[in-house]
Amino acid sequence: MLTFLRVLKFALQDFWRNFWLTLVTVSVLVLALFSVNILITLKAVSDNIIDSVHDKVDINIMLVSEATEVDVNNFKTFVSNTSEVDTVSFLSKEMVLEQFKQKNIGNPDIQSAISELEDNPFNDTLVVKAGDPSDYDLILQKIQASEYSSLVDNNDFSDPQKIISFVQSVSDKVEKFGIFIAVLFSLIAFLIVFNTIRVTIYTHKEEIGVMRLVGATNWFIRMPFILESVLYAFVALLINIGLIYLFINILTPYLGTFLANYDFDLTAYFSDRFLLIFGLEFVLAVVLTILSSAFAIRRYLKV
Amino acid sequence: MIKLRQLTKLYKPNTYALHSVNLHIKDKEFVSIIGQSGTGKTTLIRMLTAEEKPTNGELIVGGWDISRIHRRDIPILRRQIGVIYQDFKLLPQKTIFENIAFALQVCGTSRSKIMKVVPQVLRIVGLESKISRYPWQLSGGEQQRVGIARSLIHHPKILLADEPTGNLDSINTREIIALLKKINELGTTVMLVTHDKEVVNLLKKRVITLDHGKVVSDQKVGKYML
Ligand SMILES: Nc1ncnc2c1ncn2[C@@H]1O[C@H](COP(=O)(O)OP(=O)(O)OP(=O)(O)O)[C@@H](O)[C@H]1O
Ligand SMILES: [Mg+2]
Repeated sequence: MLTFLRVLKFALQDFWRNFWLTLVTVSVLVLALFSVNILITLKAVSDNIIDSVHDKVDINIMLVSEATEVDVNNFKTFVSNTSEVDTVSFLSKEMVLEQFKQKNIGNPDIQSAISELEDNPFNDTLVVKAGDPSDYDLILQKIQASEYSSLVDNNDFSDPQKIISFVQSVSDKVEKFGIFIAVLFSLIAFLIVFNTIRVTIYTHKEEIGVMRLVGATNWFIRMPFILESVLYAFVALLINIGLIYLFINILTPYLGTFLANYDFDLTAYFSDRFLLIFGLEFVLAVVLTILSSAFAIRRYLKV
Repeated sequence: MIKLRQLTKLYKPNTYALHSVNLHIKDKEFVSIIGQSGTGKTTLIRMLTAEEKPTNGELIVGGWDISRIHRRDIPILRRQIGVIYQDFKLLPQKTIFENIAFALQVCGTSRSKIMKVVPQVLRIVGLESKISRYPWQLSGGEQQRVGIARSLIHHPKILLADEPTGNLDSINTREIIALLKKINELGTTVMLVTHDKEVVNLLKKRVITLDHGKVVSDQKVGKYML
């Protein structure tokens, strides 16, 4: 315990004494960690967008006005028995009109156009939600092929697959680029830590010589350098945590304007996974710094 | 205390720093090792401190064959052997007290023991009044005395001195040699490597002469004869 405290003291002294070296080393580590966190943020946001698109997508199958109640019920049963379908609900034409009014409540042109109409321009409608948005095409095909195809007037089907695959492809590209950046920064961090420890060993040549001369153990001679590198990782992690929360706070309002009805709480996302994300990052950073200082020690610290 | 049996050190490709040397240095003895430059004196010291490994033969210190010493055991060996050098090896940014305390700290000695041992060894070398000075505030002889004080912190059975007076004038040299003699009289085996004719003649102790890695003379009360 006594020796551990002493080793820690030596490591801390180096940490402050070589201020500029420490600054550079910690900065590079922060960059590496921060790029990982940007990656996590982007992934979280794009997953969330995809999820919410999934949830919002449905098809409105407008029925012909001649359809009887029995027809409609049979059709509804048929659709809900189709394996790809999650839910089916029936909307009467009055309800459809009401929804349309609600949707365009802020648009006076449409409002006045509607009020001038004598008849309800809408028909009864089935609202179909699929379990998986890529199945909408298939569902429509099945309906077309069935005996009920004559009941379908038209269907209003905004192709959700397009939005989803667009978001997906953007996020895949960003993810690849992000991984590349993270790996690049990690490599740079590895080299910088290596160099820092090398320089520190060099500036402590005399002390190391005396330590050897008087019979300090290898453990004692090497440990300060290892601890020093762990310290770099730790400080970098703390700075990185502060930075990422700052980043999220700046980012969130922009996300709100880009994406209407967007209510994804990134801060909560990170806070809920705090230990997982930052614990893992700390472990990775420590492994990186220890490995690189171990290399430097092996290479430059002959015992 | 120290036994060399057929001790050989070969620096590749073909420099024999030592070549089949046999020696026996008894407990509490004071021996001087002399010889021309490059005859293996420093190499012998470095093997005794396990900085170099012998190529062949045995090197026995206090009954312990250290010619194949495990790396893990090297610190144990070094804590039983004090070493001083021509260039003192003091840390310039530390005071005398800190220099010696540092040597104890890095060996895991407790604070209270450090507070006890440091003044003790400084008293032996007569520097207790200059405890808070920095090395550059001391004369060469005083600096070497600090080096000696530091080498005594573990109460070593053996003190190795590789040209400890090489950087000193004759007055300081005499002081250091007197100090080594005193330490020897207190019960420590001393091995002194020197170039200094005056030192050897003054000592009137055993002198071993090396030449090209071999012992060419071993006199009970030696004179410098090169
Ligand atoms: N690390 C090394 N690698 C190769 N050769 C070495 C090494 N160290 C010493 N030697 C050689 O071994 C021989 C003995 O060297 P050593 O340092 O023991 O001499 P020395 O007797 O101490 O000389 P000096 O009186 O000048 O200090 C020399 O020829 C030297 O060149
Ligand atoms: Mg020499």
